[in-house]
Amino acid sequence: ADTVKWDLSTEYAPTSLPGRADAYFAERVKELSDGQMDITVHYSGALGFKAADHYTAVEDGALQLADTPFNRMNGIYPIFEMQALPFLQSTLDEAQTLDELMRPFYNAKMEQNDQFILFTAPWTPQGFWAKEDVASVEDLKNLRVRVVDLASVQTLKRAGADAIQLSWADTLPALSTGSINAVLTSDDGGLSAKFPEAGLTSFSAVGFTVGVDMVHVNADAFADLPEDLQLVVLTAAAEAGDYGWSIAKETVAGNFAKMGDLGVSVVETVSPEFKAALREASQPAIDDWKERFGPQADMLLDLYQKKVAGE
Amino acid sequence: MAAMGVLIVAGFIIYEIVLRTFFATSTFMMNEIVGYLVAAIGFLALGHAFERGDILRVSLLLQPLSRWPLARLVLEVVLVLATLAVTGFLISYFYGNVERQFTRGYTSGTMSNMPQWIPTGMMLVGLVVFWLQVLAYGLGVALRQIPPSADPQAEAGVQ
Amino acid sequence: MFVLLGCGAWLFSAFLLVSTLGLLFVVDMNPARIGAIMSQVMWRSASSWELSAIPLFILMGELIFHTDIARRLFRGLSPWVDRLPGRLLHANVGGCTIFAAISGSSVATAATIGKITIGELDKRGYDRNLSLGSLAGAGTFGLMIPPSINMIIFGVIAEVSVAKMFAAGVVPGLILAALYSGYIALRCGLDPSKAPAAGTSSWGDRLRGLVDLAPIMLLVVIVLGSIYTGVATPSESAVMGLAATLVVAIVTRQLTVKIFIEALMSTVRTSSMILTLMTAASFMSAALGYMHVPQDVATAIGALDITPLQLVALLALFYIILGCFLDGISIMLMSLPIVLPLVTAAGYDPIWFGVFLIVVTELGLITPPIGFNLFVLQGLTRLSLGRLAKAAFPFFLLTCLAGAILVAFPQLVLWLPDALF
Ligand code: NA
Ligand code: NA
Repeated sequence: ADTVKWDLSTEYAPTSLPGRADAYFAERVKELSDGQMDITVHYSGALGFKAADHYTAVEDGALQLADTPFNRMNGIYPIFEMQALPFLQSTLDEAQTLDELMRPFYNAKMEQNDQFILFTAPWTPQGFWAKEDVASVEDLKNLRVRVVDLASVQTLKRAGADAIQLSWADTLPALSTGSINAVLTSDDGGLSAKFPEAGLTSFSAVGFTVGVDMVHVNADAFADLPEDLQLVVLTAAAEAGDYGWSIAKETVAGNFAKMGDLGVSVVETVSPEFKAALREASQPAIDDWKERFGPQADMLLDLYQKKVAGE
Repeated sequence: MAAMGVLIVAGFIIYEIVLRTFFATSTFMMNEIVGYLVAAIGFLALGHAFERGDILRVSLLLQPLSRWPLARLVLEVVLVLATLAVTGFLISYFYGNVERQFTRGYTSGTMSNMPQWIPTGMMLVGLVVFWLQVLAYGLGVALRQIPPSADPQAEAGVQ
Repeated sequence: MFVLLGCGAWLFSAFLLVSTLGLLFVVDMNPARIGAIMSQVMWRSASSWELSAIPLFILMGELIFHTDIARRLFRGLSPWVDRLPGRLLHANVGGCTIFAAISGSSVATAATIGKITIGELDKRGYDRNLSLGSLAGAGTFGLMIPPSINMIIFGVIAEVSVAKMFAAGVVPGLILAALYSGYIALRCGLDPSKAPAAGTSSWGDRLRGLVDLAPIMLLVVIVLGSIYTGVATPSESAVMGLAATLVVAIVTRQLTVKIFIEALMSTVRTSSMILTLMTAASFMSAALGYMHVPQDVATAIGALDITPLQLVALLALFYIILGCFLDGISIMLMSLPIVLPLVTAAGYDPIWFGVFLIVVTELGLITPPIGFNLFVLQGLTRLSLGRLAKAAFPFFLLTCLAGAILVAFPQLVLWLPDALF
């Protein structure tokens, strides 16, 4: 038979953590299918889709596969925002717990739109990249920080910082001209964007949230595959998910040392008071989300809290 | 309308710069709104630009063909039909997107919480106006009401 | 593609038609999928806020054109360039070089400077081929001289510092400008009929000229200042330029409501032409992406066993051909994941390669069938694409020469970033 050719779109570079998981997935599909199935990963949004377009693009079959961060899915259905709420999850373990717990809920919604999640891959936890350590509410007042989503803007504004939504492409120029002096992102994102060279020589690991990307597939395209290839795709997906989470954990361990070598001052843990203040500032953003979600929001939050508490 | 768009874009960016420079705050939605306006400027003016002959074409063949008016006419009608077909195809799928955003209530998920069908609807309107302008031009040419040479005459500018 | 364009199809619909047919017959896609791709990709591209600089800079150019700032610019410049063969033709090169330091986009550069200079140069009897060709070519400096959208994107993809990329572009940008000016001087030196006869000017004329140059210099200072003091990001600097131009026009009492509306409507038409073409071209890029053309060719190049120099030569050829059909940013996005590891493995510095890549993708802006600087000029002059491409050809060769110089002397690129950082 002819080789089955699929396309996977991602906004990120091949060297990013989710990008590496995507490459691993494509590689494994090729190996496990003996070359009968070939997935081309289009990095850095090369096909012309942004992450925010992926949901409908996969639904319509414009893409068979896409790698989409949960925090770019707000505005579609509020349930997807749960994975990106501030301080709900601060470590990779918590993020993984939430992801596993919520997967049936996400898929139940996505099935209505002709798609489902194959696997997920995380970034490392988010903190403040800044010129000076950010260890107290006082320090926040000096920040003009670039953020990506609505909940972060609401939270940081309330905590006293000046939060600005900027595209990633504008972030580096804005840093070099001084119109911002901090960025809320993962330690890994900052290292690969060479923040230390741009003058951000401090990273404060507040664990704001953990970014997680999903790789989702068009359900019809999947159903049209012969059964052996369906099994190949699912197997490769399970392996790529494990790979993505494990490289993230290794990276977190290695990054702090790497930052130290680069002369970056790392605040590995912030004081409980500071974290409590940030958490409190995030409450309106969370309430806002609950209102959009509806009364079942508390039910899901309870389920997660119990799981994290080990009940 | 598109002209208003240019002024609003300029005003909005200035407002954002003033807020940021003097009040250490932000509209928190500049990129997004300006993006919508850019789409509006481009597409709402498309019909007008076409009417005024500002939509570029390359006309190696049109010029020599002017000696055979009938062939020139047939070619022109074929081109109009091809344009109508492909933009009509685009419009039908674009309409599908706008309708879905409307019925499912998709929003931008940002500070503006803009319902997505509003900006995409504007681009849709622009495409439809363009389609109608092309149709009007095609009918005019086919019924010999307007000469096809009224089109953007690429070579005529050579001095 | 060539058949359609040759027949006189509108570029906007020709791009859409060719891409649709390509996906239909080459990739064997069903129409519903093509419709979904086309509608979504085009919306995404149409609503990019970075493009806002284009209408704003065009309006700035229109206002400068409609007031006496443009005339003053030429009057002021005249006594200074009297001794130089080609005289005011250098205004294109110089104007674009200065404007490139303000704008990150080559289309905005060509459109703004073109609006200001083409009419004036024509009126004064300068050779049209030289004036159009140098404008098309020098417009591409927008990408090389910082700030530059393409450099930012290269920096993000290649994970090199954008500040270093910006620094690396300065010297090559000046080399390009020098080559262009040298060529103009040479051509006009050999054939004086290409430029009107020079008058004689005293130092007094030159000093009076400075007064005439003041308004335009003021605009440049304001925009550059707003970027380097951090008031505006490079993407926002267009609005500072526009605001400053408006203020100058109002203060000198040259702006009437009628002129303003005229400028605005003309801006809207030109912007619509460019923005919708870019949107249609983005669908064309997506179609080529789905056909895996750039990826497959880059992979094939990677599989060859060749020397580093051969690799760079082959890549340059590959990028020049791609540049005929794709814009520089799409080219980078689609090919870099495969090409960058090859180039670094061959021992090239990624910053050097970034600058080299920008030189070769600059060429794409002045090659038909898809060359945005040619489209801008076509919009301004209504001349045919072939005629404009011919006028731009010598400058195409000069840019190739600049690329070769950078291969021979990589230090020209790397010296400044190394010295600064
Ligand atoms: Na520039
Ligand atoms: Na080209």
